[in-house]
Amino acid sequence: MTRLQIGRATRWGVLFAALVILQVVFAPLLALWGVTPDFVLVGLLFLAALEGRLPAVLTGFSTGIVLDIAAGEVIGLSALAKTLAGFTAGFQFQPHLEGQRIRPVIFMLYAAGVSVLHNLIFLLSYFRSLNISLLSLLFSHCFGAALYHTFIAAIVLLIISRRKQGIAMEARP
Amino acid sequence: MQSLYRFLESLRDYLITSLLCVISLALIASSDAPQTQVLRGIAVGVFATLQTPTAWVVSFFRSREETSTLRTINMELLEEVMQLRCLRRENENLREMLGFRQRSLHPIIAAEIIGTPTLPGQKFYTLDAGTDRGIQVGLPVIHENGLVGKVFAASRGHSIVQSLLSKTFRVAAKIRRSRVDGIVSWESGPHLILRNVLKTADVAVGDTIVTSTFSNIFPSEIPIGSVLSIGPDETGNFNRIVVRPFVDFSRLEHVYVMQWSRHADADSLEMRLGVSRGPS
Repeated sequence: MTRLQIGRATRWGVLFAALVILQVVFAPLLALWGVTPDFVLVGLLFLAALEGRLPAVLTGFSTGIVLDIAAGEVIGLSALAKTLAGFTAGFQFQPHLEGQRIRPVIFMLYAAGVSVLHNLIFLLSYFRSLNISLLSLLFSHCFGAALYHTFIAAIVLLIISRRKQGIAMEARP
Repeated sequence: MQSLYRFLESLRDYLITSLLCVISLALIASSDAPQTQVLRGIAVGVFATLQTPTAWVVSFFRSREETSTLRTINMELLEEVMQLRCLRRENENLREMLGFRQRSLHPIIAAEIIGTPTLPGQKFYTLDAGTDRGIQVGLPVIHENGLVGKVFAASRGHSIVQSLLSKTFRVAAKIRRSRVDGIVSWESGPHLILRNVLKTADVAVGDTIVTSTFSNIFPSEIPIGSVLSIGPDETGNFNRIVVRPFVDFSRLEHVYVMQWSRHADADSLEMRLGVSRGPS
């Protein structure tokens, strides 16, 4: 592992630590109709797009464990959901490209799909204990939440693209 | 061996993901283990420390929002209270009017005071009822508490009432208890004067003054006021009795015009005899 790679890993580590804190402390304040945004999931989408599948899977698992412990969830549930989310999001990574770029349309489609998958895992584990119909849960906490996450991802993408002067971003220095 | 290594290398992501999924499932299965609970307790403590300042910020903004909402509700309630107070006063007035109507022996016309024209030495009230409702000049005007005055002028939709607090107004009156007669007039201030009462007459502070049967405008026994003080007049032969009127003229809002007239035959008889009745 080169110094450059260590530096990149550290930056991502710090970013995800901040995202976990953001998720636990501030995300409940931004809940819309009971749907809480998942900043860690959005971060994973970017990590998968820029660094590849394996970093996304490992980060998804580790942040998932931390979130489970901190948020009082069933330990392993977020870890499982985020591991699979990172794995799925990693399909958009194209290792043969010299400079990894985010293709906005594909990225948004991945964001929506991965978010639906991520939410479905939670939904399937919880809907039995909740006194709400599956259809209602699907619309609010699966598709609704996916829309919310995609929206956040789009905003982040827009901000990054503005800073990088173009929608395509260099992943590797 | 190398080909196996390469094969495993190509499946690296899948294998690691599968392994992590298995670990996750194992953790889910052992979620209620005592060690896990201890770990969770520590994590909750750490994140709770982070959440404390943000909770204060959130509660601050929520309290501001709550204050704003409460202020709005307070304003709405104040307005409602004001409306209810108006309705209560109106209800009390109406009940009083209803009771008074039932007590009155003569037909009465209720009217609201819409103006108080001021003339030197005269106190008038403009009413929102006129000849179209049967009001004529000279009819007595009363209130629940007592005598107000008489109709001074009347048009189709309005009329003007001359009150007791006018220098030119006189009314034949008597002390209800002792039946002593006198004449009520006004000089100045909020009180009336009962004149022509002999110094030897039976009169005491607190006695009620009512209209007399001698009056040709007012029916008898309409309360006017109560005796406030007794003293000698300028001549020294009569008492000058200060009377506090029952009607608060400064707060009048509505009055009743009595459709009352003295017997016509008594008038014509008196006219034939050339008798003057003096005060009204």
